[in-house]
Amino acid sequence: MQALRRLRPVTAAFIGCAAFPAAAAYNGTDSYQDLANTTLECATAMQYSEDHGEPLRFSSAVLFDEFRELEREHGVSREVAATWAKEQFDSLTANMTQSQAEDYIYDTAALCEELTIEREDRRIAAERQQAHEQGGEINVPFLREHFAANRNPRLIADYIVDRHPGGKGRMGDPIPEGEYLGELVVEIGKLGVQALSDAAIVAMITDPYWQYNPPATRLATEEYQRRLRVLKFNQRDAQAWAGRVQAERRSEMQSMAARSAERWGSSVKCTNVAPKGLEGKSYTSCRTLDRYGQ
Amino acid sequence: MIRSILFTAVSVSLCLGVPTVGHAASKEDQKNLRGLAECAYLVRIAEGNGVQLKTNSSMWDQAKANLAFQAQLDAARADEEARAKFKRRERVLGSEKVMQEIIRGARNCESQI
Repeated sequence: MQALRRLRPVTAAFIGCAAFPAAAAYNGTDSYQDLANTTLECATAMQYSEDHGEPLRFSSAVLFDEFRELEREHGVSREVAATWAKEQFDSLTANMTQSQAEDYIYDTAALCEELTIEREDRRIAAERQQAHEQGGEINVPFLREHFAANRNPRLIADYIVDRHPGGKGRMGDPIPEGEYLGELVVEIGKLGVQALSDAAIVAMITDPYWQYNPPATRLATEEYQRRLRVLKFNQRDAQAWAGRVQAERRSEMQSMAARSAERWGSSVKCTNVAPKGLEGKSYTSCRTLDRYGQ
Repeated sequence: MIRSILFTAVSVSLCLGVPTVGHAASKEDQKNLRGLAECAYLVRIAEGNGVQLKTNSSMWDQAKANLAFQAQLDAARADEEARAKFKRRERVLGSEKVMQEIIRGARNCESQI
């Protein structure tokens, strides 16, 4: 035990007991100091767990950030929290071996992880509930939820682009929906952007929707350029088809004419003639060549 | 041991609780995607050869991309398959016949929506 304390004095000191204080604090019934105590305890346990090869579903930095926010906004004491966690740990691991204590820390970290995820789920559910209760107002949380449920980025991009025709304005303040549009574009990536409508892509190119989101800007620009390329490619593809059809017709006609000429020493040459003023139409004309091949 | 039980619980909740991204690609989606890719190909060849249609190929392309995004399928592969299909037919039947087929197919695609 002493060895563990010497190795990671800060960490070991913060780890305390687990379930009940953490769960209670997350209910929001206790004071901010209590919440800070358990947050610090959880963050430290998670960091210890991360550092010793027990992977977790999210980083301990999240909880450390939360603790710092509590410190900043509600003026909780860092010393009090540290002391509390140390006392918890000391009282609970007084007669444990080192490996038992370590297991205890891992348990704490896993529990904290689970509780935090549950809390976030509850918060998101409440947000959604609120979005529904506001009488169908379409805001960013609602759009997020809609996207999560239906996975239809085209619909959402069209809505935002229609709702804000000029974007946020060249020097305007950022608008939440515009920022979300940028986020959405980055989230759906290169393949998802291909599903957006031409109008949405052009609007994103011409008007600023997000304040500063280089990946989103790059994706929109690349998609615009890709669509231009596809247009050109499609034209060429269709022309190639037409060319092959003409070539086939010409060679067929040539063999037919040659069969009907049936003269030794003569040959037939067919050409496709495209008359002026008739776009995309051509006819095949054949003639017999003389013995000089003219 | 408590820890192992805990981790089992966590991993089970990982499997159940994490929302699946999009719905899983079904056979139906595969079929629809193939149909959409084929229609996109037909319409773009037809419209490039002066056939008057009410839809353009970019709409078909976007619908295809949307389905591919939702069902997490590979649209490029469906495209390649459609292209290869008509290439094969061209080799067997000749360009002119297949061109007529393409134009008929494009009109048929349009009538389906």
